[in-house]
Amino acid sequence: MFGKAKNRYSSSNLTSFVGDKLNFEGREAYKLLRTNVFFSLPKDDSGMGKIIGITSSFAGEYKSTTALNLAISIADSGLKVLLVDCDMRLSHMAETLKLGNKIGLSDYLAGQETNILRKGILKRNNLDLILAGYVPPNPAELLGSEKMKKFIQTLAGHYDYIILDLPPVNAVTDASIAAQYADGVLVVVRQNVADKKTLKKSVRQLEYTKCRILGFVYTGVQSGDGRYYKKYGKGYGYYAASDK
Amino acid sequence: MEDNKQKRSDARATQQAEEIDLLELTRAVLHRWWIIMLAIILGGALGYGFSKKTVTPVYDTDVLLYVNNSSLSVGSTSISLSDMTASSNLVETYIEILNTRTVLNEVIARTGVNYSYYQLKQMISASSKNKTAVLCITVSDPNAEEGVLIANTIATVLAEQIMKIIEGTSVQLVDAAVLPEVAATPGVRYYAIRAALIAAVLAIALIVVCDLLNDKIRKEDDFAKNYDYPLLATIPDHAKSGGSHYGYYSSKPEQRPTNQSEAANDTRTSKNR
Repeated sequence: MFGKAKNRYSSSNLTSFVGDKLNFEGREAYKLLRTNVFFSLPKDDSGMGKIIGITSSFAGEYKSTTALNLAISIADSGLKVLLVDCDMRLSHMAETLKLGNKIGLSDYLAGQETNILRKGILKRNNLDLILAGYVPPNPAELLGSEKMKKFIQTLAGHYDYIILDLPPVNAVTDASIAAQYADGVLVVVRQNVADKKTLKKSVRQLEYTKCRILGFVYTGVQSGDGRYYKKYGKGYGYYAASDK
Repeated sequence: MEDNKQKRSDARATQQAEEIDLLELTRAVLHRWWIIMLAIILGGALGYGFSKKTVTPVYDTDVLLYVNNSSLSVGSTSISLSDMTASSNLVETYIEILNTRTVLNEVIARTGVNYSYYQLKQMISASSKNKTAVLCITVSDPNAEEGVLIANTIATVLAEQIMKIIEGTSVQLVDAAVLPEVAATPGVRYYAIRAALIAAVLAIALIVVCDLLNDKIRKEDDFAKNYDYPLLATIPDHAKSGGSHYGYYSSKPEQRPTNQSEAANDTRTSKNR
């Protein structure tokens, strides 16, 4: 009776709140996240895109939702974005986006596929995607390989922002390994799911591996707590129609 | 700069250890008002049912006797203070006499009640009324009429016995026992209310304990209190608030992932904990 959120741990219903299907509050929230990310990781003149890692303490904290929506939000601002799903062990991205096959990063790193880039997903020309691929026996080795490092470096030259959808940091070492490539890491924290102790552990782990933590993204916030949205969502209701 | 940061996080750590947010706690309790309501209803019903089954009402009947020791004031027309003290001291003696087998068995014999000596002794209490020479005998009996009968019989038997044992004493009946109208013991309603209140208190205590033990991230303050990293955005729970659908795939049925992947998700989640 004190853990209402538990039955919604799985991110299987992710489809219903991605991109254009979001309501006004949701889209505004991701826009705010985008703005804050721009401020903490501004584009520079080096010609290399900025790489943002997104992780969380547990599975099911809306990590992939956040990654996808942030990617959409950045793409909508006119920049070129690539979303890379690095969660090789447990990725729902292919199902979520209703993509036919699962070929992706792991297949490329294992040397079985070369063409893994999916261009212009979700009706956006400037939003590309790389799926996690089929589950390999050794995700940590693949993510830590020289090939991966080179691959990301090459990609960075082609995009303004690259978003790495990382596995939960506490579950496997994959996240810490893949986070090395990121210029900054966002820690997704879902209300009533993440506990303080585990979050502390996650942050410590990221700090230990010398990741630059940009900040937290607080997801799944019940309307009772998010007074801000309640107030503004209603007040600017007319905006929702014109914002489309 | 580094020092300042260190100090700040130290201060934060101590603050966090001490702080219990009363307002937050009250809110948590109010938020779960239905649990308290449920506890009150359940507790009340339980208390009512239980007391209805087990508790029998007991009626108290009083009989008052005045103890007069004439030997103490021979030749005196007025009752002196020492007489009074002696009389009230004597009350203690009379109580002892009352509790003897002789008296109580005689009472049982005369009234014909179906109690043993010990049972009857349990039912009777006696004391000096307001430290005077008036002896008050109370009979507690589930049967009010029987209680009256016992009380009045005691008065008679005790008077006879005292006069027989202590010479020069007379015992007068001040007030005979009358049929009590209400039961002396609390009724079913009392127990029901009691139980409901206890249940409510327990429910609140449970909520408070659970709330204090809940280590989950529940409010935005939890970040600022513990970390130097900023909170970049607060995303409302879409699943709940999603009213407006503009999506191009809103018409398509939602595709669920396979059971296998869901099961895998569950195992990983439990492993983490």
